[in-house]
Amino acid sequence: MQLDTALRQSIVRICDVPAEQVSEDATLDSLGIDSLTAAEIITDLEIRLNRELPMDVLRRLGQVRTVSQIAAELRATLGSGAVQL
Amino acid sequence: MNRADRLKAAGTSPSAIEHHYDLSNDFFRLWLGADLVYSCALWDRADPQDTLERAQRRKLDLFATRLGVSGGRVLDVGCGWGGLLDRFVRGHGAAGGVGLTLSSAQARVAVSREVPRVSYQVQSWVDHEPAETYDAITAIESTEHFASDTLTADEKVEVYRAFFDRAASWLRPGGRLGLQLICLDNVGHEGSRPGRGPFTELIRTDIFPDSMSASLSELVLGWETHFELDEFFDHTDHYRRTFRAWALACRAQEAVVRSLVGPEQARIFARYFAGGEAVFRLREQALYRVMLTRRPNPKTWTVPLRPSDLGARPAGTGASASAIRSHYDVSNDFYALWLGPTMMYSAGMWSGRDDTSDLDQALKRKIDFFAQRVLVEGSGFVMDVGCGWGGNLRRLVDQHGVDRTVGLTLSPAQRDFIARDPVPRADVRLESWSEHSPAEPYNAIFSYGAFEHFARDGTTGIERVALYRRFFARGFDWLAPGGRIGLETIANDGAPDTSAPRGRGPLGDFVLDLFPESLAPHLCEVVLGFEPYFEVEVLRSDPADFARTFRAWLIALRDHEREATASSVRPRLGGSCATSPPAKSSSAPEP
Repeated sequence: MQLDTALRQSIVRICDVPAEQVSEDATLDSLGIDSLTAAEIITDLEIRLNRELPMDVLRRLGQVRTVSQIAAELRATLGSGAVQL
Repeated sequence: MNRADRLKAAGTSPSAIEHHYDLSNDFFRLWLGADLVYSCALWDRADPQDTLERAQRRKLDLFATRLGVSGGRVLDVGCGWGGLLDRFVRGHGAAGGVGLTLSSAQARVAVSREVPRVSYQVQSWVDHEPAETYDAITAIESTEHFASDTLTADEKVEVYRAFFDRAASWLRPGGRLGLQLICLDNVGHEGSRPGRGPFTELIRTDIFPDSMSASLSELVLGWETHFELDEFFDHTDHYRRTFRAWALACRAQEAVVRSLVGPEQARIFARYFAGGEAVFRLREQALYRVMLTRRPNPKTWTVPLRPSDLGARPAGTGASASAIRSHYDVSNDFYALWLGPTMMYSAGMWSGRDDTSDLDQALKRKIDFFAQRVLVEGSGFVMDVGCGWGGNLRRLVDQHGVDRTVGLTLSPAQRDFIARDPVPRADVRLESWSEHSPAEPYNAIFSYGAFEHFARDGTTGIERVALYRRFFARGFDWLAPGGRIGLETIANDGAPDTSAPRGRGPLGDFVLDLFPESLAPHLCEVVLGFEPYFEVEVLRSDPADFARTFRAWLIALRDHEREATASSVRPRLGGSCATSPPAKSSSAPEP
């Protein structure tokens, strides 16, 4: 599954918002994403992708502001080959 | 309020317990499984197909076998729906027992299991008055309900002390206590509270009101008077998999969950599972399993430690260089007679009574044990505080791929010994740890049998903790991120705490003559020392190994009695060693 699609589905599910609200430049604040919600999104994403994401993603999410930045963080992680099943 | 009422008020109220645990038995069964075990499981790390049901049984079996419950009477404090006693009696031959819970819905389910000779009481531990003693007690993730989030660290320690005090009184001498503990690990402590983020708020308001995890030191301060440590497991990574299993089970039956508890509760539990998984993955909280044995007599304290006492105090110093030299500079030839080829002056490690390894093999195994757990990938740059005659550094370089090393000793004789047969790429310095300043960060630090010199005899526990904290603070600064420290020390386990060790008996005085200005720590002091700086991964108590090491030294010395007394050895040391009784226990040099 495409990472961006999966991430969007996760946000829609966890934040309980319409898909069109999850635009690339939507801010985490506007979606009501705090650190706990971010943990939920990562868990949900791991279940969807059936793979484990490294924990630094969770740590770094405190510093990102928008959905596209989350996606960039995740792509960097997944592309680095550091991801283990 | 009397004392019992105050203790009960300190913990989770019955209504708060019912708020969570009486929600719906069918709901809990949906994701906990048929056994209804609501705590961290024990997973088979090698098996990705392992199931929650098997992992929960494995956890219960671990406690049953380590506590030796066969034929014994067991008390389960915080018994939940009765899964543990069911397994102990039907699966492990426990003679029977009692389960305590504050939830009447849980008690009804537990009773319906019809486990022979097991009864359940809706009762606080504060009010428990057993008709006869128990052989074992379990408290599986129940201490979190003993002290609420409104208490100070001092007040929490008082509550834990009261619990372990009572638990000891319920146990027969030698009886055992098994604990499963959620501990605050890397959270910022305000008093003893975790940082108030959204997860903590969820736990505090929606999941477990009036509950609070402890830091490990608070629990050790609670148990150390009455209990000695047998086994300690860091199983933090097992909670991650447990929370995930619970989350997946609920997710697979979302519609049923909503119909049982409503959409709002369903949402709260989903957040709880994701947040729980995250805090254990981030190691903000840790999961420890601890097996303790009731002491024959409680330990006495001159100054009982309280968390609030441990502020910035003048810490003093450890044993002086001259005190160190008075012991270690006696004669290298003399030490070689009985320390053997490793020249390691600390405990060997055997795998049990039947292990026929000699001291040399047992010491190598000890070094390897530490190396496997302490060395991070690449091994790199390693230091040894109190490196002795270099035995550890030599093996780390020869066998474990360590690149470069620094060894600290205060003994010129030890330094000269290493200089005659240098350890490759080792920088051995005649220097105290308190004056050490590394040129670049270390990847690992080792210290065997030096910690006993870090605080002097005559210090109070408060002063010792300050000194130990200073040591661990230095170690923290010296290490590269992710670096580890491996420490071996004798602990004053069964011995009373006193700032004046002299006069505690002939053996105590004798040890102080041998090791002037030195004093072994108590476990709580070590934990209080490292806790601000290090996470604990492995903690072992191996007194039998040190007793065996002393016996091996004594036999070697007797075999070389003539050389020992003929060489340049000072008569007091050689004579005393040859005639002193073998040490009974490494951890309690005092009678």
